[in-house]
Amino acid sequence: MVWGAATLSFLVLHLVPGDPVDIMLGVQSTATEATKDRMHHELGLDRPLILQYLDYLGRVVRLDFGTSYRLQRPVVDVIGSQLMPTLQLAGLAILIAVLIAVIIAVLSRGPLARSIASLLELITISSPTFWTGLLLLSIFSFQLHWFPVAGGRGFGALVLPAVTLALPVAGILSQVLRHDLEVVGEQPFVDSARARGLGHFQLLTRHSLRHASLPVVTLTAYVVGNLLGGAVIVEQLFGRAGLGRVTLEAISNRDLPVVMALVIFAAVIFVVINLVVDALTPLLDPRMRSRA
Amino acid sequence: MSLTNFLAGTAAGTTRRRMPIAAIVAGAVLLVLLITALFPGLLTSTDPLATATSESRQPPSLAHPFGTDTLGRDMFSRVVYGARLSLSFGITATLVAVLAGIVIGLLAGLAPRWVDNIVMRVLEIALAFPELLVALVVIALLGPGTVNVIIAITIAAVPVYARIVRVTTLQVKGSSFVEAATALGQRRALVILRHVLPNVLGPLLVLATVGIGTAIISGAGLSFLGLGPVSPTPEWGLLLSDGRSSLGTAWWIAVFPGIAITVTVIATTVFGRFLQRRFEGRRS
Amino acid sequence: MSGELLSVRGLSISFDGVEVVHGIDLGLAAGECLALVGESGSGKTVTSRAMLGQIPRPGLVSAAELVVDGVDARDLGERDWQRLRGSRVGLVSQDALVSLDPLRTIGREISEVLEVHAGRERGRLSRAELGRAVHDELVHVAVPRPELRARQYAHELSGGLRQRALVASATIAKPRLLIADEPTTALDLTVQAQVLELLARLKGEGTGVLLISHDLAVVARIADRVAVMRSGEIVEAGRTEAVLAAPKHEYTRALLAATPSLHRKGERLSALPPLRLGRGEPVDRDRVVLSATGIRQSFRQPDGSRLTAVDDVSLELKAGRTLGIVGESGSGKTTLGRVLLGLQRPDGGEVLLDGAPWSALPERDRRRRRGGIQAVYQDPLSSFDPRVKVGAILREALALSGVPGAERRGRAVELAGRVGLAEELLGRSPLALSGGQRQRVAIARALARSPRVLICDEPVSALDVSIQAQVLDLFADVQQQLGLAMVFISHDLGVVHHVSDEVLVMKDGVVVERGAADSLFTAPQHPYTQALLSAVPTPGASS
Repeated sequence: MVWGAATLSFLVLHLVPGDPVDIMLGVQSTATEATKDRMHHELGLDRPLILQYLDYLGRVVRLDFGTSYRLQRPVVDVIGSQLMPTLQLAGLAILIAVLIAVIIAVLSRGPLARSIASLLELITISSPTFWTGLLLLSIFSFQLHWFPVAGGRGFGALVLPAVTLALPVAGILSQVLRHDLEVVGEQPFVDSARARGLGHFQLLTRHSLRHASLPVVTLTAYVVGNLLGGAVIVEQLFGRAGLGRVTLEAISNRDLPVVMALVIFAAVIFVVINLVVDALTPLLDPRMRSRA
Repeated sequence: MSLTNFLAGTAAGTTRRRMPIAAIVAGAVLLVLLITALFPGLLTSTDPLATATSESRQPPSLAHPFGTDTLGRDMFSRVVYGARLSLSFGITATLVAVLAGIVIGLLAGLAPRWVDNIVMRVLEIALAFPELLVALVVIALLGPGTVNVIIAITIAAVPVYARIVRVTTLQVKGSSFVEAATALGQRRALVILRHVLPNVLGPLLVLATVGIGTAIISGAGLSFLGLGPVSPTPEWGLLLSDGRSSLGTAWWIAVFPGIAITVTVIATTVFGRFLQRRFEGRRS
Repeated sequence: MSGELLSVRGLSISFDGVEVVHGIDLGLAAGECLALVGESGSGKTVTSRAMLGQIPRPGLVSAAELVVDGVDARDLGERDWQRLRGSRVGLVSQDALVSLDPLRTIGREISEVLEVHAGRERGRLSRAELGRAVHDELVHVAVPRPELRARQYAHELSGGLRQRALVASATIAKPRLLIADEPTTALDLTVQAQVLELLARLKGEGTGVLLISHDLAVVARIADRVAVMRSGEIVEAGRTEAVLAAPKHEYTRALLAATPSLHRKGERLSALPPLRLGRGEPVDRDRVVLSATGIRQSFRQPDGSRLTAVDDVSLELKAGRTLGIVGESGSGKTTLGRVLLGLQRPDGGEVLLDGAPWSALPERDRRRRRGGIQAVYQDPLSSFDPRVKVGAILREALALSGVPGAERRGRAVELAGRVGLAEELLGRSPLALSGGQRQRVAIARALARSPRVLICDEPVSALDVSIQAQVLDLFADVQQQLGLAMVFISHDLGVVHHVSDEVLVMKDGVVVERGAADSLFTAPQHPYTQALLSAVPTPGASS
């Protein structure tokens, strides 16, 4: 699949109308023909397409993504240095999201609680992250002065962005989890378990949660994707350094080598996640294990 | 069959019909928004672009229900006029994406195995990426701008619709009903075609309704990041970005556009869910 | 009625103001088995759940007397019920595959009731003690190699072992009252017999068994007393032999009459008059309309191995006669049916329809001849387009037979009449019809093509006994008056015996015995057929 993503980005890049060099330079550039020719040659764009493709694949495998046009640094460098802050942000966000989702799912018993949970989920899913972030900033930073307004230092600066990022994810997880718990609750084996004298909480911990978590695990790839996309906005909003910022700048500046590298990077992440989920599923669900 | 299922079945005949209040409210909200987008003059007579530095950063008042921004422009009319652009992002992108999705999905489902395999692979890759990222990449290639934002959101939305059309086509293809029709003596391809579209229209409608909300958020997000329309054109995401710098002093500049987006998306989601329940009720 | 284990008088259960069960009196003593018999909707399951206090939220239970194992259960709170459940009253549901948590091992499922009650009354049990208890109970229910089985999951065990493990999970805490809710439905016949035998043994050990079932034959096997329920009320009750030998209520009589295993071919099962379909075509009873030679079909499994579904099967069907194909699940009978219909191309062998090649034809050519052979399936609903009304379904089939547009409406009404469907039903969607009516629509659709051969795959398995009787009568009428040849595939021996002239017995893809229906069922030669027959519960035979 990574190969597919790489090939796709290569194809797209070269099939898009317009000269890649022109794209990179932007509409208002005043570069001379000579400069453009030189760039063409540097980027190998004057060679036959097939050779470019093979060369491209070869470089990808060696993790050589070329040089960022704008920053004049190797792309690998650019991405690598910004990886950590984004990982921190995403990691904390996932934790918060899962925590919120599980708490809501477990506590929403009875029609009133369920309606409230439904409403909360609806709001968190429908609110764009850039707005909730602004709201949180406005309340907690500007009015209450609990957290710093911007900047990337320290744990305090991590909290608001992580919560902002986590909210829509929490909403979706909670929705799926609650729905699955309900579906599980109608299964015959829950009947049998109740007939053994299990109470509500015991039912949840011993049976239902395990069943309900199966579909949630398959959602992981989607959740991570959501987080990555959201990171672009959140980092911009809170003025944090990280991959999101890199992505945004690369796009605004038409820095194509960086963009392509990011695409491939994202693809790699998804492949890894899918592998992990595939490995995890048989562990959680004995029906998926192949006969020894 | 568990007891609860059984009881749900017996009681079904006696449940009273509950008025879908939420859906009605949502529908009304959407209607209002549509009117706002088409005829903004009905709600406000102020020019959204008119600046008045003397009135800059006024809090909400009778004259300016949503306050004014840093350049003294009336926020209420800016939000009202912004509906036009933001909603058109959502609706146009979704419509085109749905049509494209139908074509691609049908193709994949009905075509020979190898064609389907290729299409499925491409779809899988596209689906793995969050819509915003795909849209961002398209913008990277085409450059910023209003039209490009619409193209970007459309392309990002297509895979979801293509997938469901494809899955439904394959489902119908393998269903016992198609088999029974074959045993009866009907032509397979005709049967599949005749029965995929009506079957898929329901789920598509539901997805599209919610999809409009997602497209609006994506469009607003891209505008917020500065990749879409340029100031002073009013667009909700852009307005939010404008309001960012005045958060501490003039919170209303950012808050009201945000509320507008949230309310719109909530309305589409609620309406979409209502549609989903209606359709699920109709199938067996 | 009263008894030391269960004493119920005037039990009523209602949901949202609608009474689903009314005025129930029951009594059960130790070592006794009371059966609640009824069709779907009779209220028997709900009644049984009242003994466990497991009526879901909108339900209201009221009774003049409700004593469960000595405890007055009329006003018990949830906590108190939890103390009773599992330790004083046990529940065995149908289909262990879904009644046991598929994510937990059998051992943990069985020991759960002990763990739950451990904290409350019996004091904490250690891992080892639990393990021993599980082992002992598995031995008690005759599960071989209990140490291995306890570590396995429900889907890894065969149907019979699973069901016995489910029983173990209910009996391990030694409740004096055991509720068995359709414990043998969805099981193969041989397995059914084993489970019934286990229940009988438990009864002998002193447990009181409340058996819920729709199958009079099963009930006759182990129940001492029976209560027949209909629409939420008990219409007749008494000792089993008495009720079955001389039923007093007309509903009980109808139930008994409808059991196919008691009636030979040609006797009517239901009270409905035979349909007048036409003059009754004279049929050349020696003409072979369908023949299959050496059919072989195998499938590739997900893990790569090949599964042979049908292995060298040959058969011959003559005009106006019925060939019954009987077998348990996995015998290959359904695959064989699909091959005969031309929906599946066999890996080997050939099918001839009316003496001409059928299976060897390309689909294009076969389509033109499809009118000659039609099918009726187990689940008619999945073979209809859910959005099309009944009339349109029939007209569509008529159109395929070349009936001109103007005539179609009239012919559809005529067809509906032939199968006993009122004309107004033509304007409804199949979703609004009952199971029996849907099956009639399916039959009408098949007949619309004027076939000479009808392939029926479990056409009555999903129907209640009384409806089943009517539909079987319909098949008989249709065959007699139209001269149809039928292939009748079913796992239900009684039904097959009733409808067939000749029978094929299949096991694991091979025909193990064939012969005339009567002689095969009265004097089976092959050991498998003999085993199948001995497992058939029949009313009138008690354990």
